Amino acid sequence: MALTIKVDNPTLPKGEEVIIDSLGIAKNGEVTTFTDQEVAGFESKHGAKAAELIANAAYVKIVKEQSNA
Amino acid sequence: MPSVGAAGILGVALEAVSGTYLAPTTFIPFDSESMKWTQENVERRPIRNSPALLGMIKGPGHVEGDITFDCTPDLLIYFLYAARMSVVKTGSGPYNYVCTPTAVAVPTKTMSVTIKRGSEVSGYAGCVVSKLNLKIEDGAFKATVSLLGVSEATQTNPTPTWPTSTVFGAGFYTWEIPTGTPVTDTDKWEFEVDDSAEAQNRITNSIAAQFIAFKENKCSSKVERDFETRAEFDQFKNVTSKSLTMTASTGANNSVAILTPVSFINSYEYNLGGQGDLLRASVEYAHAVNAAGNNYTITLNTTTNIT
Repeated sequence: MALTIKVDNPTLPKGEEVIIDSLGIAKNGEVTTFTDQEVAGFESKHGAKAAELIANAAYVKIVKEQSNA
Repeated sequence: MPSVGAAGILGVALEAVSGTYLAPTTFIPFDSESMKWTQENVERRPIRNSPALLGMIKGPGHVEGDITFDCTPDLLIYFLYAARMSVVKTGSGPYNYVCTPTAVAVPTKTMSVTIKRGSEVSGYAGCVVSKLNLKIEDGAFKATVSLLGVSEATQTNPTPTWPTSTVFGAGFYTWEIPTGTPVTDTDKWEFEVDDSAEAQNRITNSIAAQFIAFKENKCSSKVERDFETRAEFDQFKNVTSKSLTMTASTGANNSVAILTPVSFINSYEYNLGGQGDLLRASVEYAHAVNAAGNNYTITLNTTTNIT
């Protein structure tokens, strides 16, 4: 399932890259979409569902979860 | 299931209420940590026709330990806020933080430190920096913060977001002895601020420490230099002070500068160790206060905005 997230970290400048652990790079203040494969790897490495993992990530919010099937 | 260090995660957050745990908002790639809960239980050994231990009485506890990481201003600033320092921020991005010592007994700001080891997550609350050690060796700029905190509890597993800031390496440093005169004969540099913090436990309904108190401050530096003349050795004998500055910078938005305005040489050694040994001087400086009451000033430039 593809995942669209937004990082809104007030301590970092807009556009600064952050690495979301095991998922990929996102830019602060911008919306980033990760592929099915990237999300599957993220869930596999952390052993939990993406929504649950993102809920525990500071300043990161899910914009959209979308099945590509 | 066994686990290795590589799977570890360490995050910090500056606390809104001192001693009240906050989930991490900033994650730190680190080299090692030794954070632990220390509890001073009392052995129960009453006289009762037995020479053995009869039991244990629960004693007070606190958190203590070190964290070593690559020193970059975006991460160091969090620890400086939780140290015995006044931090003045200016600018609108990048931000300039000027950190100078204070004489407070109790920290103005505390932090929560969260560490994931294996599948367990420990949250350490009410942490402050008792000692800060900054070191440049083999080109790498490392920070070691010695923390003391009030309590520990299990916490939920955080999902970290890692910084992408540039770390300092060879070619990014300027070392000035005295300030304004760069020297190129030094290969090891170490700076330390020790505020001798101590956990304060009180008679309460909790085993956690009530707060952390700072005591006497000691600030020093150590360097290894090529020995060419005895000019600095004579300054040691004459107790002559001077200003020293170390700057690490990759640009206007990523720099750390340490100024020690009144530096006395506390120890100066230059010896012949063997036929093939280069003649080096090991110099230790003790940093005294200037007229403004500062024995050091740490200036950071970073895009990180701490509000």
